[in-house]
Amino acid sequence: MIKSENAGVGSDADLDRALFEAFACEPPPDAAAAAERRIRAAIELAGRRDHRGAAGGIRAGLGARFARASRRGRAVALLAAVLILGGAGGGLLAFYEGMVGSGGGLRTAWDRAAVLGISQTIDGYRVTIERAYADPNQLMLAISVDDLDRRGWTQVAAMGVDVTDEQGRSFEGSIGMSSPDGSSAAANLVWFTPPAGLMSGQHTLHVSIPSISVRDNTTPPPDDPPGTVKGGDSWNPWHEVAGPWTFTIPLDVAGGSVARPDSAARVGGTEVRLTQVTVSPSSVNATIGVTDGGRGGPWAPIGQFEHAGRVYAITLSSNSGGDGAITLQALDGTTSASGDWILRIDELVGDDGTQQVRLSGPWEITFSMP
Amino acid sequence: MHDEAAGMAGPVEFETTGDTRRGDTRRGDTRRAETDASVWVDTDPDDAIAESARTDPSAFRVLYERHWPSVYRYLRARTGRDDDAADLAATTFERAFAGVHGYRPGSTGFRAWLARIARNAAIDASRRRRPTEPIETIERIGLAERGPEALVLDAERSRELRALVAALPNPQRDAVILRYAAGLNAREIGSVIGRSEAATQKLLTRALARLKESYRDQE
Repeated sequence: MIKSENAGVGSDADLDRALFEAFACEPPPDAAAAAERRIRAAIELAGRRDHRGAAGGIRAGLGARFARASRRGRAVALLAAVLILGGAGGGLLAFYEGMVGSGGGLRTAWDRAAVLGISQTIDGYRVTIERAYADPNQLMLAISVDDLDRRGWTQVAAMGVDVTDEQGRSFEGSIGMSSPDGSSAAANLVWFTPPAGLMSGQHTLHVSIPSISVRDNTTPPPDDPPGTVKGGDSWNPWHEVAGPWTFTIPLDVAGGSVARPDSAARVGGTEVRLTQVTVSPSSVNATIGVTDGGRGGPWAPIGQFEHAGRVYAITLSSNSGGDGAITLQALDGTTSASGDWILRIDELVGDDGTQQVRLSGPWEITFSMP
Repeated sequence: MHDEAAGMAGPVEFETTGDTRRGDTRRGDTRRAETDASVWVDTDPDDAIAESARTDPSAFRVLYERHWPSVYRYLRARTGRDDDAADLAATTFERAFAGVHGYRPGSTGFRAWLARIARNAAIDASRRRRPTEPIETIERIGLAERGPEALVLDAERSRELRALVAALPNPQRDAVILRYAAGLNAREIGSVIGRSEAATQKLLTRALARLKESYRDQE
């Protein structure tokens, strides 16, 4: 038996930690996918039967951290995501740590981010750019908001953030999370899509937050009529506080790899063509096209990238371009992208205008990254 | 099944200058999402989501995503097999989904309710098939962040600890697995195994003392 100081469980804390580690495990991808399919089928069946509007809700698979969902579904998805903060200590740092998790691309972005700590205070509301990270696939900003005057029980969040680079090019707004500390401050993470052609290296970004949202809970929510969802839709405890809070931040943009494979795979009359892949330290982004002979759409692929024994699950997809192209994102990346990769799409989920359509693959496309 | 963050108010999703991933979300829609999230501020988030799942089945996906890892870990610890654990985890969530209308918020919480379903599913399965050797091939997570020697030592220690847990008397083993694989607290474990919180705490304390002693004996 191998023994050392590292392997000991001398204290209660050591034993506690060792036991959590002993039972830490992740399911094999195949087993997880099989279980996921069963749950998805059950939910979809119920959705079709009971709740037509929700059936098409989350489209990118259960692993989709920010998948498209119904409005309420989307809210609760992020509610859940933000609430994964177990064991967080005091201070907003712990909230950020909880939001980015222990692994994957969010953690990478957080760990590699420039620590800035630049603050500006307007009307007693202090807004701080805590950290910033950028690579070819994303810009992440960590923005703390603090009500220095402690005006009752409020929850503050930076809801709108505009970012441009030194050439005036905009970073498109995408998605974010806000996690309050329960009183008068909040940790916010916001992600943007960088402008096309953003080169690695030193940049100067201009960040403007036109207003922040303040939650005031001094007025209780109305009673809900029997049989309705708690809270209803009529009570809105939020109001805006105008700024703007403006910042100029230096940022070293990390590099990435780009390939344009233009390779295709065909299964059952449906072709999937991979046109572009960008691998960065924090994520894998790709663009595909689907030729389905009019069987449905828009398509949300369920699948993964594979490289050097690692799996990068696709967690986001969109059909925003208007040209039929589908963008995919795996929220995990690598700095060792060079070599052979596989894009494997197990299923395409879409609809034909009246009901959901699912096309089974797998479509497998092998490509190389420089 | 993570511990709840003490003192948290309502977290909020927001989007900034438009939804580039879909192209059809405007600020108005986004704010409605915030409002939807904020109305659950005073409730257990799982309870709120479970309540929402009664009328919007897609909301159950959130519960699945949130609790799948811990349910899997718990069942992996009980069954010792990846495929059995995944199968039983799916069964657990199918049953939970079917029964979410009957879930009553406000007692010991959703994850204890879910753990009871998982435990019952595992007990049902164990009656149908031969038990397998517990937990010898669990894949560790985050291995790449450690040096090779530390990895070997950690893996060895984990194997030993799992073997020691497997040798505990049944109630203690059950409690330890619920604590360290499923991540439940003493109150929740008590509700799963039918004991008071105080009795469960004593059970865990005895189990940990025994584990520490056994581990020391091996050294």
